[in-house]
Amino acid sequence: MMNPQNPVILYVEDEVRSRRVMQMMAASIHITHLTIFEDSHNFIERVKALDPQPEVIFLDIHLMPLNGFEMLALLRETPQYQKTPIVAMTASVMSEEIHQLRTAGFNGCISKPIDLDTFPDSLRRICEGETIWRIV
Amino acid sequence: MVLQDTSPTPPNRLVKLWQFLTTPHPSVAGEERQKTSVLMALLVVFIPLAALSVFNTSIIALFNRTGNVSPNSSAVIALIFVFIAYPLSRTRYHQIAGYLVVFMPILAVTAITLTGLTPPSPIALFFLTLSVILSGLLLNAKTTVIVGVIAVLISITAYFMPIANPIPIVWSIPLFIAITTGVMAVVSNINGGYVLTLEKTQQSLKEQYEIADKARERAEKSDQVKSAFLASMSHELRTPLNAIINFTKFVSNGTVGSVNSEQEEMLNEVIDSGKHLLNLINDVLDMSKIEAGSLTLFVEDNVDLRAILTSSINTGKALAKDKPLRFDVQIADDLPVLRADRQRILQAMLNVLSNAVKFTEAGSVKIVAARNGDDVLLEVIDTGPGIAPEDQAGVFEAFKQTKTGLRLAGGTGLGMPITKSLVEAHGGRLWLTSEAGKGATFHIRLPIKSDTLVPMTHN
Repeated sequence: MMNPQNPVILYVEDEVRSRRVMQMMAASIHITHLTIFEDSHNFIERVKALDPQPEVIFLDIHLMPLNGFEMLALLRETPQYQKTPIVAMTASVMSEEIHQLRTAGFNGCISKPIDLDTFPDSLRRICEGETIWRIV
Repeated sequence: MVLQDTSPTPPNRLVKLWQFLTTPHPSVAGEERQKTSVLMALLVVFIPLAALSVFNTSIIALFNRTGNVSPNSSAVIALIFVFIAYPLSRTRYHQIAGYLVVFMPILAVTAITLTGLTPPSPIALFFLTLSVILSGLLLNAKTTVIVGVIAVLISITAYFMPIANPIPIVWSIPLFIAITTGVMAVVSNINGGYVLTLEKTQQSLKEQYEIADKARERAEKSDQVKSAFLASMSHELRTPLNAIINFTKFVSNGTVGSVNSEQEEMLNEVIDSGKHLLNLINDVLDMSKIEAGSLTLFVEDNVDLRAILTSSINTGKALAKDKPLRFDVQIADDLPVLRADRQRILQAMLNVLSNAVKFTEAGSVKIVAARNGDDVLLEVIDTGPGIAPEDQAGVFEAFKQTKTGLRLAGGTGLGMPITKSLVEAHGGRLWLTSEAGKGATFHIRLPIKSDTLVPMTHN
């Protein structure tokens, strides 16, 4: 069973500073399993190869070769990730883009810049199955 | 300095007359215009020639005392009609006039046949034929040409077969056919001309529509380009802020080593400035969208207003932090769900609430939400400094802030104008009531289900 205080996290992010922020943030709340992909090459194969398997997935939207929407679609096609909370973590949060995220089937969105104060609470609620749209 | 006369030399009168005679009616458009112009020029040349060719023999016969009408004078009568019809062809009835041009030679042939005298001279027949065919071409009507050809055939037959007076029955049949066909041609082509005009009108309407359509497409494309630019702006500005704000936070909270209190204070200033910059970016981008008229609402049915209020009140409480502020919440039990853009309504509520919290140092912020007929009425009542009557209009104007506002809260001064635009985009209204020193109340009236909002379909 997933521990909402310490879930296994996968984060896909091509920007080095955002990855560092996530690492420090995860460390500060004692997350023990954080995997970060720097691109989306062979995405689904690499996800399937992970051990332990991710319990929450954060996806950046603008990256190569697959973008966030395409990664989401691949994950949702794979039976084992159909129920996995998948959250967009992006700086693209104009209303059109949020609308796209909502209709694409994300379990929520956490906007960049990430709010360190609210992130632990958002993460816990996401793990508990809530949909979080934290657009600041 | 001598001023040179740069105006073009006026065309001489003959050129003008020629232009006048060969310029088709404005309703004739495009390629057809040039064709018509050529045909008109040919008519201008050939009609006088035809008239001249018959003039010498027929003008006397036309008015001779015996009362007999010679075939040549019949041709002249026909040509006179052609002449009358020609100027008419410049009016919008040019088609009707053209049919008369064709019809007249038929009458002439009829007259020739009925009088049964000398047949017309070959040269008269030639020009008569030419006029008929040219007129027919000018009209671009097949039926008319056919009728003209029939008339010409009859006149040629008449030339070779001089007929006695009164006409034998064998002649009355083709005559009857020619006249009937002619009349039918005129009637049907007048109608056809009308249809033709209608088709042209439709054609030009279609062209206009296509032009308008292309303009609309261009505008939409430029709207899309603008939206895409703003979206990429937002993304590009937010990404570095993620590093600026959060790295500073890790340094300031001692994650990467101890900092003294002065350093911490300054780092916190960096964080606050970063957050302020983020708000500015959001507001400026929103405002440029509104100003560009490209604010798009993502309308949904069943938007839970209660959830939006709860969420914004929580944010408001977090903003109030250490201020001695009491939050009174009165949400009616029968508060309906809305047809609205969830994100935008949340943004509007957050703006109004954070404004109230920002300006109120002590006392209370009261939130009232209730159904009011077909609308929902939301009120945010604070016990802040209030807004003087002369400042109230400026609250909703972009790039303006009240003096109190500037002194107390900083900010862009765009929050309220944006909020007002968002509410109005929903078909609602935002207004305020206040007395200086006695707090302010912001009222939002939103339609529960506005017909002008169309829900987006979710795939």
